[in-house]
Order: sequence, then C-alpha cells, then structure tokens
Amino acid sequence: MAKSIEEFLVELDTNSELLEKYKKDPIGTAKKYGLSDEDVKLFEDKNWDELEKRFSDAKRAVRVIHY
Amino acid sequence: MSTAKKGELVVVGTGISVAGQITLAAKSHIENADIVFMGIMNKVGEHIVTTLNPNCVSLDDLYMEGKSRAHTYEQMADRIVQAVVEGNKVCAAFYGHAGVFVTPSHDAIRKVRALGLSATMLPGISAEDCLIADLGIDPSQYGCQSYEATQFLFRDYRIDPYMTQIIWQIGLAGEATLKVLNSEHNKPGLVLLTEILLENYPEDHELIVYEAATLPVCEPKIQKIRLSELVNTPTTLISTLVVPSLGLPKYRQDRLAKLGLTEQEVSNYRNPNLSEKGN
Repeated sequence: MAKSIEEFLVELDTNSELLEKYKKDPIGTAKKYGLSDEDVKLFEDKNWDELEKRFSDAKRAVRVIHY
Repeated sequence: MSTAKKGELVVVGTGISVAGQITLAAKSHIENADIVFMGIMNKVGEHIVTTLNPNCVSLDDLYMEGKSRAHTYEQMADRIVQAVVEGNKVCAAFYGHAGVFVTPSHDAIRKVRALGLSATMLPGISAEDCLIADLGIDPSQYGCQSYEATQFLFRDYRIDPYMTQIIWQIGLAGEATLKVLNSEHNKPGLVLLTEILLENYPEDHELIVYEAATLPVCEPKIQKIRLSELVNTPTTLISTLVVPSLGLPKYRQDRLAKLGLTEQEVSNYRNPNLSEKGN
C-alpha cells in the first residue's frame, strides 16, 4: 500500500538524511519512500500551491486580537 | 476528603513547520493528556498530534467567515476550560508558539487559574523565530519593535527608525470588524501604513515581506520591495512586514560620561583588533 504524503512530509521535516536525499533527487526519493504515482507527480511538478491548498489553511492562522 | 480528579491544563506550541519544531516536552504533554485540543493551521501538524494522542478535538470548526473572531476565540478558550473543569488532564496545542499572537491560549490559562486549577504554557517556535533564522536578523543588533499591524495603525505608537520594525498580520491591516478571514481588503490599511512609514524612512527604503515556510519542501517567501511599492504588494494572512533599521544611532556622550567612559574607549572595547593594530 502506498504511503501518504502526510507521512512523507513529516519524515522530511524530522529526518535530515531523507531531506538531503530529497534535495538531490526529489522524484527518486518520493518514489522510493512509497508515495503513489499521483502524489509523486505533485513533487515532480513542484505543485506547492496544490500541496499548500491540500494541507494548509491560512484562514486558521489568525488567532489574536489586540487593538 | 474528595477523591475527584482535578483537571489541569498545559498549553504547548507545535512550531511553524509541520513536524520538526515540536519540542520533546510538548510531545510528551500531548501523549500524556486525557484530551488534546488543536489549533493548528495545517493538516500534517494535526496528523502528527493525532498520531501522538488519538483523543484530539480540533478548534477550527469555530472559525467562520462573517463571524467575529472575538467570539471565535472566546469559544475556543471556553471549550478548553470546560474540559479542565470536567477533571481532565488537558493539553491545548497551537501551531507556532502557543503564547505568541494567540488570544485563546492566554484566555484559557487565565480562566483555569481563576478556578484555582493548574495551567501552564510551554515555549515553542514562533514565526518570529523562523523570521530571525531565515532573514539573518538578530533583534539585538539594532533593537527591535514588533507590533500587530492593526493595533499599530489604531494606536499612538512611535517608530524608532534606528530599530528593526516587525509588523505582523499586514494582510489584515486596518481590519476592525474582526469578521474578515482573507487579505483582500487591506489596501486602505497599507496606504495608511505607508504614510506612517514615510514619516520615518525614505520612499526607496528597502522592506521585506516575509512568510515562513510551513512545508519542508518549500522555501520561506522573502520579497524585497521599496517602501513606495508597499501599497501594491500582494499579501496573505501570514505576511509579515520587516522594516530594516536606518543604522545604529549616535552614542549618547552624556550617558557615557556619567559612566566615566568616552566614545573612543567604548569603540576600542568593541573593536579590540582595530585598537590593537592602532597601538
């Protein structure tokens, strides 16, 4: 079974060796990690907007009132 | 003697990036809580927290376009406090540093303490920490003034142009209703901000519009602009404006004299190699 992008991003953010490998060979590292072809394509296309859309929500970033 | 379990609250930050900036202490509190409330803006961060402790409740359902954020934050704090009152060991996990630019975390702690129960906050990694690392700015170099954009516009603050200025949430600059959750209406705020900055800086002063990276595959967004370009610069809800210092101010001779020092002496102390070469 293919591994999830969430797991891959967590691993990249906490494993400097994997991140180094990813920087040298993003597609090969994503494939070897076990992402699905569809998810590998996101990295191949450097489709960060889609990635951010899928995983981040800036509307929830605001959490303060001061004035 | 009552044997009822007393509730307690620990508030932790999960950092700005998705997983790598959670401290070991924060992780442990998340793992050991009876219930974890999450105010985390990315799903990967939520995935991490729910992996550490499956009994998680998101606070994000309380955000709604058109609803006052004042109400949203009050409900967030109340939800957290209620779980503590019910006798749970509660962990509230907010992204970034849970105490930096976060109203409901501080409110929840105040309310829990007012009930005579334990509430603590752990430090975390904030957007300011990322900014310092990404831009190579040491806040001690020139001193630093840091404000929330709307508060800065509404209140009678004084800029010291010799200090670094960090102005947060420029995507909502001047937004008073607290009902807007996008950065499409900040133009009047940016116009006013530009006017204020022009009282202190030349129009070609270089500014930085900054966004920390949240995903490990992305770089931080660092856009250098002239002050005159600020009004037409696209911003998001996580954009921060950095106004670099004009440089160090002159020495205050009167203060140095009171300490029995001269400018030459302190310059020599500060640059020992130069003074040694001169000897």
